[in-house]
Amino acid sequence: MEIIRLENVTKSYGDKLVLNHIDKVFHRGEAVAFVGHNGCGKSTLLRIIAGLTVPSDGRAVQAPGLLFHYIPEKFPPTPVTARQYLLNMGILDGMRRDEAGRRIASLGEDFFFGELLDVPMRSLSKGTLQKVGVIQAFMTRPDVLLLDEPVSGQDKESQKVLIEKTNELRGEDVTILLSCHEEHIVNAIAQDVYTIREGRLEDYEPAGTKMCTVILENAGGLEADGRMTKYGRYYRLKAEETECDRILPGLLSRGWRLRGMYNEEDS
Amino acid sequence: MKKIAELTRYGLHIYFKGNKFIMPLVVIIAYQYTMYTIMPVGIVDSFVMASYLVFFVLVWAGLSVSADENPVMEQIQLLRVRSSLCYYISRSIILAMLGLLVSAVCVLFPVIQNVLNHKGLFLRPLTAYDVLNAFILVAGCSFAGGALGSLLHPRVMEDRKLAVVLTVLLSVLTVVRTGLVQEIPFLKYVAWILPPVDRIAYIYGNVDEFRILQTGLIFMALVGYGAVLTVIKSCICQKRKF
Repeated sequence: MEIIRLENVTKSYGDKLVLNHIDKVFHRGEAVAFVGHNGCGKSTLLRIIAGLTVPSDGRAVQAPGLLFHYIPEKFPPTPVTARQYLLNMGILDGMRRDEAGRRIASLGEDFFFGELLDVPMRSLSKGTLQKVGVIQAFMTRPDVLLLDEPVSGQDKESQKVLIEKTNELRGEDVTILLSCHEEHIVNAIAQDVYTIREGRLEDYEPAGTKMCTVILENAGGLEADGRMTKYGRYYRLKAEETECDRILPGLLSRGWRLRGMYNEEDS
Repeated sequence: MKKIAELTRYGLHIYFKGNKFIMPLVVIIAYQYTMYTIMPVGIVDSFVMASYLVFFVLVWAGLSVSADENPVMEQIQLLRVRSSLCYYISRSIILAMLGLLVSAVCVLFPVIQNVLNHKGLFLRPLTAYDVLNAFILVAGCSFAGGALGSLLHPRVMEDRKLAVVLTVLLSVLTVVRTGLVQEIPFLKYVAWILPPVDRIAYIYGNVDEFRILQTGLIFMALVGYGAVLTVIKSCICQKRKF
């Protein structure tokens, strides 16, 4: 079901053309990511989709009554504590006070943030403050979740929770629109990936070959491959993704044990 | 309605958790002590002066409330409430409530002082009618002041230095409007755009009694001007967005 339609959207700041005649339709339950270099127009596009920025030309049409939740790139501090802020956002979402309180406690625990909920937001570090920005967007279920560089400054564990929660929402038919530089986040959330080149929205083609790191355990007396290097009590092997698919079955059948595997971008 | 109430409550909570209210509060307290430690004072004169003070204090508060609005926080709230109208009404109510609070302080302080001084603070006995008129005048000035102070919101004028200078200029012109028009008559063609705060001194400058009809008319004019300024600011913010 179509919920947002961009019709010939153009945006320029002074002489700089940021978005150039963009036509695009977004459907309920879709997960779309926008990647590209800084200043290419990703955040502007998200704000136009949400109706927060007026396009210079064209228009963004939204289905009536859509509830947007927005995780900004830089979440600003306010003079209140994180709990007070989140409580107010929950109440604005229509939650009862006790219901919002329980949700804050649960999300605080999920994001390893429980002990800092009663600290004034002005005293929180950048990464912790960003968690407040993330949690406020998960207080209730929106129709559209906008994530603008959502993981900036956050630890890996919280990033995993963010991915999990976002995919849970997608499972509930929430439309996810993400602007992000981290490829592992994009891969874990988005079904379609676009980039903005010279103001135009284009399908994203990842450049180059992806490298994988495989962690293997020597089950006993096996001779290490020439490309393997010692990695604590294990061995590490770096290879192209396609090559890994080819050589791994052979290594495992010879008695090597797989102890870990990750993409280079995740490391 | 519930959303407006929640937005207003949250906005007031943020304002009082910050430190922007401290200096205006100090100014109000200093004024009250300075004004009402020398006895006796004229009832009408002192409340007319209080009206001017409250006007300037609320211009100050309006400026600081607007300047404190973070665009990201605004965006999150606007998306949540799904109604720009609710959001902008709540911003106006926040200033109106601050104005009522300041008005109450400025009217009640001399009333209490008068009681503590065995009803000898004023040149003649203070009546409930005087208090009512004073509160209406001061509240009207507070609303017009808040609206004028928040007119040049960061989304209306990005250059904050210029916005502060222009706001101060406009508020000073507002209180000297009549005198200025007497000196330079052709200014009357543009002076009408400023709130009629100076009419209070013009009407009550040489009298010792309030007249509720005059007070009511000035109040309505001040609230009307304030409402127009608020609508202008909100429309510009809504048109420009972020």
